[in-house]
Amino acid sequence: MADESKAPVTELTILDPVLELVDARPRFDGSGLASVRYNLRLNPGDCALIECRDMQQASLFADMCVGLVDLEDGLARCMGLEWSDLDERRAAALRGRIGRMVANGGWIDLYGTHMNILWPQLYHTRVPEEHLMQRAVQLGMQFGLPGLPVVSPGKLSPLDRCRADCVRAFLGEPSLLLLENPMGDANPPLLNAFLSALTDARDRGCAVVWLAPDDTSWRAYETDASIRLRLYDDGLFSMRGS
Amino acid sequence: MSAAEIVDPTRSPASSRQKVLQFLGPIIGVLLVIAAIITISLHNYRTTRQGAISLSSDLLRSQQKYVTEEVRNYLSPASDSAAIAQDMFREPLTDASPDAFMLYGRSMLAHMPQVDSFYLASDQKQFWMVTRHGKDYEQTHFQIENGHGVYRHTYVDQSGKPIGTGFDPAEGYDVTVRPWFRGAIKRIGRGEGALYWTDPYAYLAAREFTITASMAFQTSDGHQAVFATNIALNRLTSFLSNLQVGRSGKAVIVDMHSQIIAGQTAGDDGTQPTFDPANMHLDPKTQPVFIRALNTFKVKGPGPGLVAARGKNYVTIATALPFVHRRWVLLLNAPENDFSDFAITARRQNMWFSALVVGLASLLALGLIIQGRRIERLRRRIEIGREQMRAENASLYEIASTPDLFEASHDVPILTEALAARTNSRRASLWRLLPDGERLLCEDAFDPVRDVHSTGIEITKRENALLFEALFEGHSLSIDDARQDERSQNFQRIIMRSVEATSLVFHPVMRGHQAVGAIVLENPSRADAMEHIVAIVSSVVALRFSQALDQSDHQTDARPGVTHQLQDTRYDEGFLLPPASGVQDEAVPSGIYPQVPVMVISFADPYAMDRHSAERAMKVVSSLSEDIQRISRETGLFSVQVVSNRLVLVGGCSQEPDLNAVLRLADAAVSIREACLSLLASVDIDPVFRVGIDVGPVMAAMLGRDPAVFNLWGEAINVAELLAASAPDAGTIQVSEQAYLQLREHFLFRARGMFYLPNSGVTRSFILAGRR
Repeated sequence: MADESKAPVTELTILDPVLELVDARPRFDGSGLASVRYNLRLNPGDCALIECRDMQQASLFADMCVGLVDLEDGLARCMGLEWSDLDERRAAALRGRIGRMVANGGWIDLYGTHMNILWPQLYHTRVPEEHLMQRAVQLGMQFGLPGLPVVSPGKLSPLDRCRADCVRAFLGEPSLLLLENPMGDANPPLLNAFLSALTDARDRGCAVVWLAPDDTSWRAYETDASIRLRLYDDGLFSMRGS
Repeated sequence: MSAAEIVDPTRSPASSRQKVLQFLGPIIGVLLVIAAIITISLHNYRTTRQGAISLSSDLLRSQQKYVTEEVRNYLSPASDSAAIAQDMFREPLTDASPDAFMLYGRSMLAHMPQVDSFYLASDQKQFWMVTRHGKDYEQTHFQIENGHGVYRHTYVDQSGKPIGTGFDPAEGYDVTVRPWFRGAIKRIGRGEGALYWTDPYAYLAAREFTITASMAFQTSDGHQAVFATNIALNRLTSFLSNLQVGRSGKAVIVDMHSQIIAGQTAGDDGTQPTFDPANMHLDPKTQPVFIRALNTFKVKGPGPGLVAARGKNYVTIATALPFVHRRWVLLLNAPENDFSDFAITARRQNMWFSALVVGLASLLALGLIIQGRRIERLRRRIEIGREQMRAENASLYEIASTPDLFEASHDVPILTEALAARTNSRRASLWRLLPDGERLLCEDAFDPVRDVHSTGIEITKRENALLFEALFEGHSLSIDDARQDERSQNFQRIIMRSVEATSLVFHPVMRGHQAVGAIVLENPSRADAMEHIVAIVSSVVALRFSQALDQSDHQTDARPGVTHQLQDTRYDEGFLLPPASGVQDEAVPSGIYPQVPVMVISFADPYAMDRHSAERAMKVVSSLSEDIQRISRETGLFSVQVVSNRLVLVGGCSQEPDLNAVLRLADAAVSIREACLSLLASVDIDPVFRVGIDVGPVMAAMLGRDPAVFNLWGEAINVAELLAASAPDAGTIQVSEQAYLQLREHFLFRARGMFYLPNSGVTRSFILAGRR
């Protein structure tokens, strides 16, 4: 972190940002994320809606936010910790505080959906398995599942998989949510449940990055967002009116 | 950070290492000091020991030279007299007394205490002897009288004057067969080696341990004569015994067969009846050091050595005594301690000094550790203070950025939330003093555990007189046990008990000198950090309450009057289809029914519906309800009950499982779905209903009296509601596994998957597609 004692007492120093990209320039490796400077600051409870036509680029941007992309220049901080300062063990632990919905689902079909959902919390925390399952069941019901799905993710319908994805992301009260087109195929009840959970999470202090190829899924929510951005090859740009 | 996190990413391993180093550093330092001291002490000890052993060897060597010289001197009369004798006594021996021998003998005996007697004999069996007899001398001559051998004794004084005679029989005595005679004869003409030494033997008459040295020579008549000197070894033994070797060392002369010549004889001094000089050997049990020293001498030759025995180290030295005919060995030993006592004392002192140094180093290390931990605590306290300041600033920022902060009509929940968070209170609340000054009204109370705000509770001055007294006087109260303090007893009972709070901070909010309200904190745990935030919130609240007070002063009592018109309470049962006939007569008795088919239809509530849409929807709902009523009658359902936006349909209610009832219910579900879809489609409304079906236990009972209302509740209804709520899409019918098992032969299903429920375990749910 920068020397905060010299900084003026403003919002910047009073509130610790959950996610902060300061002139972060990813190393060019031809993977799809342009090697330009990205700047983003999300305080607790903030929600950034980021429109990006290319969801692969959006995924790489989310990867950069969780320290999985090497930076050529600039800083990427999460909860006050700079990814480049952390060893693998601490970085993994910090990622345990982040809930993520990835565009390709990120499911492992060899195991049941319940294991896919519980794994991150089982790996990163000492929360008893029973408590985790209870919480997962609660979330599942909130998102329209009759319980915690135990069949493999591939056997679930796309909508139920989307519900399970929500459960996995929201389980463990994450401090940061990185959501890649979370409501792609969702129906209105699921969207309502999702927005309700999202609002609860923000109220708790969770920052949210919602990436989507267009604004259809978040249209009902965009007035409640803190900032609306577009992710282009040239970097992040504010949308008009945000 | 969550306390359940396995790895805390905010904790740097470098700081952990530093903490470990802070703790282990001094300990390692002390261990190094101890190791250095031990090494130095060991080295010192070894060096000193080597020096002490070397010194001991030198001492023993000089002792050995001294002893050797003493032994040489002790035995020298034998060799010296033998040398003189061959020149003095060349005259042939006869029966006449050899005066020169006698005179020589008396003289030598007078001046040489170790010499016991002298013999002079010839090959003609002549034998003369001179020896001591008390203070005088005895001169003995062996002669044959009447064919018998006799010892004739003549006792003379110092000047040779006879003072008496005597005799002893000596039958068969032949001097020429005596060992000393024969040995000397054999060595005749060998020059320096002509002196013959006998083995030590006990001279029982004199009770002494004796050795005889003899030398043969030729008399002038050509016969061979032998001169012998008897030397008593007792004096040598006595000398060696009294010899001071170190502090407790010993000396002994032995031959190569471990036979003791002189010196310590393991307690046998020759006076015992069993005394046998031939068996005077070193005893391995009592004299192991001499045994080992002799063995070392046999192998390595003369020189110093170290022998460990009886748990002690001994310094030894062995040397040959070459001037005796056989190889005699002088052995000396002394415990190492006798010489290295100073080294042991020095070592002990060193140990004490080392222990002192280690103790001081340990104290220093302990001091360092304590100091380090104190610094760490201080650093942590500063860190916590800084965190608190940051959190306080964040709260102030949040408060300051709240819109309409000073607008009394606008709720500002952040005030109690900030108070609760910063003071870590179980509950924080703001109380406004009402204009009559008799009541405090809770404007906002925040419970951070349940994350809820509440409002509207009042406390009166009549019941809390002392608390109001403090309020009006502007006294802040900080009460550790509100149950015991009479000012807060009532408040604790009424308000605080609900959250099991016991400690209380009551802070009056003043406008000038006038109390306008109070801030109440229940079970605050950060007393040191609360002053600032309480003062800030208090000033904000003072402005808000003052504004409210001013408004109430200006307002006339123009509140609309509340009319209290009583109306008849309705007890409608909400049944579209009443339970099977005779319910009023309890045809379905109260009880638990294990297999009741239940269907729940849940309609989504329309949000923000305008009046026109609402009126249109009501028509649809009315029409829909008629359809459902009709279908229910046609399919013969047990009951259809409306509960808000849900319908609870029961296929049948009997103690025995009724498959027909399940089938009727499913049939009704399909029909109702079709009716709903077609009706909603006709008015262009999206399907807004979901259906759940389960077969399971329910409880049925008549509730209330006059009128009594029939009611069903239980697991089947809960599951059906859950299935309706979690139906994958609008317009779908989700059935439980239990219902599926009974319906699968008559209806088409699509599996939704397996799900886990905490109380039910893994279960499956299915989507009812239609009739077969």
